[in-house]
Amino acid sequence: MVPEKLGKFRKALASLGKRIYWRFMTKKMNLWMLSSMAYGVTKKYEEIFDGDTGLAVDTFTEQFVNGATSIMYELLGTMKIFFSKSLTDLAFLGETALYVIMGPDWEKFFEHPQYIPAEKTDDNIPQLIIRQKMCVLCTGLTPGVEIDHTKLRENSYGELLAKALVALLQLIQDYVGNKYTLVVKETKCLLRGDSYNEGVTFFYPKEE
Amino acid sequence: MAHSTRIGNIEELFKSKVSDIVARRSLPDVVGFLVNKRGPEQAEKDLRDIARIITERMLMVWKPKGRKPFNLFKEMMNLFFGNKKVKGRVIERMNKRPTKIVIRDFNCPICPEKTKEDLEVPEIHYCTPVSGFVETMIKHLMNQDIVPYTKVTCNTVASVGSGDKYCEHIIDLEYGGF
Repeated sequence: MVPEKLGKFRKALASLGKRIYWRFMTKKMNLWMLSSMAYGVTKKYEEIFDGDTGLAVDTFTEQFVNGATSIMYELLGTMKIFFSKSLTDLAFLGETALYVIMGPDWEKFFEHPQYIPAEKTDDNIPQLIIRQKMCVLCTGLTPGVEIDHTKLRENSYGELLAKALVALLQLIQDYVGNKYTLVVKETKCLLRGDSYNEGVTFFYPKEE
Repeated sequence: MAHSTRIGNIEELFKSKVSDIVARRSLPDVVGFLVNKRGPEQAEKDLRDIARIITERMLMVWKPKGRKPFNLFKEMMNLFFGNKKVKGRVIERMNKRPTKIVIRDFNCPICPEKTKEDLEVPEIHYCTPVSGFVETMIKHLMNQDIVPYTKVTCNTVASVGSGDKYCEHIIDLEYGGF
């Protein structure tokens, strides 16, 4: 049965589990390598799509999120004991997911996710705000040079990480029986000249 | 408006690690896309070209310490993927200098962990990018006159992703001054 809210014991178990997973159960690669892989694939797709950077980014974002989603379904059996119906637990789960992927260094790149309840938002829609102090994908790029952000379409260049995280949050909502459709919007972008990246996930009630 | 400086600090990323699971899971989709869009032969060329772009970016920070081809390969695979399970052997020499080196990788970080029957694209070596990494790295050292070779080619001839027991890459080297 899905708990209404995560208790101290489950949170402590998740904190221990993420450390064990990172230390002993996952193979690790260089983070600059991962960033360069994303860049290399995007540049090749841009060439294939005759310079259409937007289509290149959208195509790779979809493939990346597909890959991330397949991992989530595989880990669902292990992860589900850490799910709850409460949206306030999603900030904790987001942090846990970032630790599982990036280890303790996740805090070098991300701020702690911040949950904003519906009553504190203008449109009465709950939000989860995730900020990146240093973008794993945009680092090393010169704005307007390697990736021209004016050519982007649906997704910004660094948005695939946010989309993968939102896919996880949607999976949790569906699993626990909450009727929300999650939509992520990038509100700040280093590549566009902002001082940090910010992705806001909106929890829209599903229409019956 | 275009800025003139690079975003962030590359060294911070270079010093950090990330689980390889996301890259490993995304790659089959990328390979599938390239094969469908371009055909297997061109897809292999594309993968090598992607590897060139990646290695050029790695070399913005990375200063290879090794000088012998196999040592360089080991250093590269350890740095890129934390992979230490590689073995190498010189199979041809000319004037006592190695001209052909075979490398076997028993822990390929790129190939999907699937049986041959489950592979979506069995006609391509998934870890072909490794050949592109090697060529770009050694060419970079050649351009700086750090290594004595005048030509390097590397080819992936077997891969776990294509149903082989291990991945195998062959490095061919030429020297000047003959």
